[in-house]
Amino acid sequence: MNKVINFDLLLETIEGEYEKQKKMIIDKAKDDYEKILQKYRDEACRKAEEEVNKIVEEAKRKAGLILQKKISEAELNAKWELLKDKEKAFQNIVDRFLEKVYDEQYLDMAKEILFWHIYKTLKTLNVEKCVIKFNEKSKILIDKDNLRKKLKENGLKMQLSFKKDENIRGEAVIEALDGKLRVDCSFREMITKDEDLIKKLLNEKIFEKEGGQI
Amino acid sequence: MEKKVFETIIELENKKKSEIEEALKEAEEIRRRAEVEGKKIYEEIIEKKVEEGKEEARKIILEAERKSEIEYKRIMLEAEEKKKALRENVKNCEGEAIDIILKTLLERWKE
Repeated sequence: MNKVINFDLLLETIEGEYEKQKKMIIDKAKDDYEKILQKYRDEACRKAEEEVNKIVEEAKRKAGLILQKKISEAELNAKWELLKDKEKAFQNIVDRFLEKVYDEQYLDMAKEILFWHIYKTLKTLNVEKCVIKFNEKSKILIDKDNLRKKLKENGLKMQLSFKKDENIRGEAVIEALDGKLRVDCSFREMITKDEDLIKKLLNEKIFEKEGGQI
Repeated sequence: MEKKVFETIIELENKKKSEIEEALKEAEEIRRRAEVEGKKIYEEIIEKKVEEGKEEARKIILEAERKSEIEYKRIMLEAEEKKKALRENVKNCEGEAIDIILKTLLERWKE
């Protein structure tokens, strides 16, 4: 009887041991299953973070460029618009100057400028004969006597003559060598010669006055 | 009798060993499934997160475009203000402008 019990017990023990082993194998596999999934999840999160960082950084870089490009474009357009306005303003001032320079308040100064311009040109030309042409409007600006006097004072022997010519568009024209040599002595031409300086001064003293800026 | 006992034990052992082999195969299958499932999860996570990243990137670009439009308008508005100030200055300073030109020309030509 004892032998039978012991035998059954032995069989149960053997079976129990194997069942335990089986359970262990499956439990371990299930545990591994979770670990493997977790490994992939972790790896995916790490990799995704890297990728997302790259994408976001690239987007930030592009965003910076977009902003910078637009700002540069705006600044250029703004500058261009202002420059156009400034140029227009300058041309208007020149036109107004050419009209107003004959007003009584400016006349003396206008005469003086023209006198010096013509005198210096004559001095530079240093020719025997010269004709100074002017029109009806500009004749009041031509100081014939002073010009002759100044030439004489400075020992310049030059036969100077004056001629009214309605075809003269500016203030005066100096002609020499039978018309082969021609110097435009108009205020417009004088302004053109010193355009950069005049623009600079107008810009500083008028265009940019009271915080305005070009 | 003893022989029968021994045979019974061997039989049980064989049966159980075979069950263990089955369990090992099952365990292997579980791990294989885990690898397959894991790779799928990996792809899904990457795809989802990258899509989220792209969406964030799109928002960043849109925000930059929005800001840049605002900046553009602000700068052009400032320019418009400067243009107005310029026109106003020119209008109010015609005499001064003529004086500047006259003085400049006189300084240039007078000895």
